[in-house]
Amino acid sequence: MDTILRELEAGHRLGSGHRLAAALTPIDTPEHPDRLKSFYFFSNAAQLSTSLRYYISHLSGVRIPKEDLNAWVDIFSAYWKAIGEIVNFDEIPSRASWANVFDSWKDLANVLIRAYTNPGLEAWTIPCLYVVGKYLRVFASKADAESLSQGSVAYSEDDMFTDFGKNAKTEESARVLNRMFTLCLNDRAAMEESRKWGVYYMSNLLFKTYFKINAVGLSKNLLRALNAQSQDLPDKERYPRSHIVTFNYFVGVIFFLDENYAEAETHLAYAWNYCQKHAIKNKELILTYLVPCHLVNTHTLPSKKLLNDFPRLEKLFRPLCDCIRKGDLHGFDAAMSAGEEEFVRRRIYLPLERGRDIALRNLFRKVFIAGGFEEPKDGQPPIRRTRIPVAEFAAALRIGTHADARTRVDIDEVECLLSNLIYKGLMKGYIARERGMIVLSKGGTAFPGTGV
Amino acid sequence: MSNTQSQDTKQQEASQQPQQQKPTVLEEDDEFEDFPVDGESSARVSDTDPSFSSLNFISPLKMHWPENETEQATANGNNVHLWEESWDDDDAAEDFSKQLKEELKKVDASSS
Repeated sequence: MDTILRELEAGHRLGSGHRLAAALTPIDTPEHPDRLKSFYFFSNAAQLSTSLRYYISHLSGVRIPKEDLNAWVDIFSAYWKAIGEIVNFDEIPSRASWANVFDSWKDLANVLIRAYTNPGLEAWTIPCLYVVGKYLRVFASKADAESLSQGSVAYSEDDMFTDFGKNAKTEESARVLNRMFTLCLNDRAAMEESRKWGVYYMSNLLFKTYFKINAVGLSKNLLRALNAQSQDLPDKERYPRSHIVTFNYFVGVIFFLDENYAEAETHLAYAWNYCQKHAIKNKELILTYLVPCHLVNTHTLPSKKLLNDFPRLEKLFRPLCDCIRKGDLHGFDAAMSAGEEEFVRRRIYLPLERGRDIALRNLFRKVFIAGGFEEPKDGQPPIRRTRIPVAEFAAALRIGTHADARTRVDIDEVECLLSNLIYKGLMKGYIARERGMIVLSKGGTAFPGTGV
Repeated sequence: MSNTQSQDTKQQEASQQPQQQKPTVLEEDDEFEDFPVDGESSARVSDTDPSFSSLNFISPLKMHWPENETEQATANGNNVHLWEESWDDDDAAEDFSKQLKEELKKVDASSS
């Protein structure tokens, strides 16, 4: 018997949504290299509906209610057509195109959405939504890449008025995925049989899609919709970890792009802590954003151990970290411009740039430490010198920026940098301008949080 | 006349070119990947697997990777070692002090 149909049967017999969804997975597997073809050739357009109906109504050990039977026949008919478009790549390459695959897969998605409305298929089958949604996105992306590569070819005659948006199909897929999301979110059934268990998976698919078409802003509508329903949703801990870790990653990145690094860190840290240990690529993506967050929020740097498994990140972040630690402003600027392209592409340039303040803090902190201690008064523990000439900070700045003999460092500029650090809470003290001195706070709080 | 014709042929050829690629890689480069545990990616059929039940998709036990498969368990509360302080209290303080004095002298010399 055909593999796909066997999967369909197993899913129903075991009542397993994932087994059922396996049937709707449009790929060949190593075990079944002709999986798609053999399904496509099991019938033809004229007899498809009849043979599917016969097959599905005679599944061994399962009675499928009449209205569900119709739905499944419709779903697998649409699926069969989509598979036909994929099989074309092997059979009739001249007629095969990802645009066709996408269009027919979108029809399948719409049939599926219809099957879930009023009251529709039981909730245990929602992994079918997952897999159809997942591949809708994949095919959209392939179709867009295809039309991009054909470029001028598509630009002829009757195609004149079609949408030439670079991501036309992906945008189309976003609208369909959004309907799937709503379908899950607005299900009113009791929680045990509710499609609400699918909201986070569908959100994740939408996030991925919005990120792809550079419409991250749309993600916020999604978060708003989820928030509005938060009373009716089960605790996140009860959802599959794979859904929630992914969800937290995206929410973290969304806050990150809004420069809300505190919120971003909460979500990214959750994703990091609960990410599957061996999912190296996902962990790397989480750290890409978590490291800059951590730098901004806690002024701490990733250890060698943390980046050990991620050579790409080690290469990306280590030069910056070393310069921050040494207070080497010149090196920091060089590392920022060396990595600029990559930082901008990953959208982490802005928070990393804030590392310059930390580098400057560390440079000025060295001035403070180099200043040594006051003459100890009898019996008292030694106190660090807390009145420091601005000129010393100016000299440190010359060292830190590798200033040569011709470069001038303005005292005004130094004062400005100092007051900036004081304002940001990285230094504690005040500037006594008339005396050209900085008066720093005593008692180990001159550079808060650094022990001096 | 022959000109437009040859253009047409070229277009046709061009349109056939990319379509001959076989469907291969479906995942993209910079994207958060699906975790393999979902089972959705495996299209295998083993009809006798008893671990599947009708509540499969809501049972947290089935859908979670175990606690010891997470970073949190590995770190075991030792998260501190993953992050380091951003400043250095090394022995180079002496050097810096010397460097600073020299620089101050230079500034003095040039301004006087």
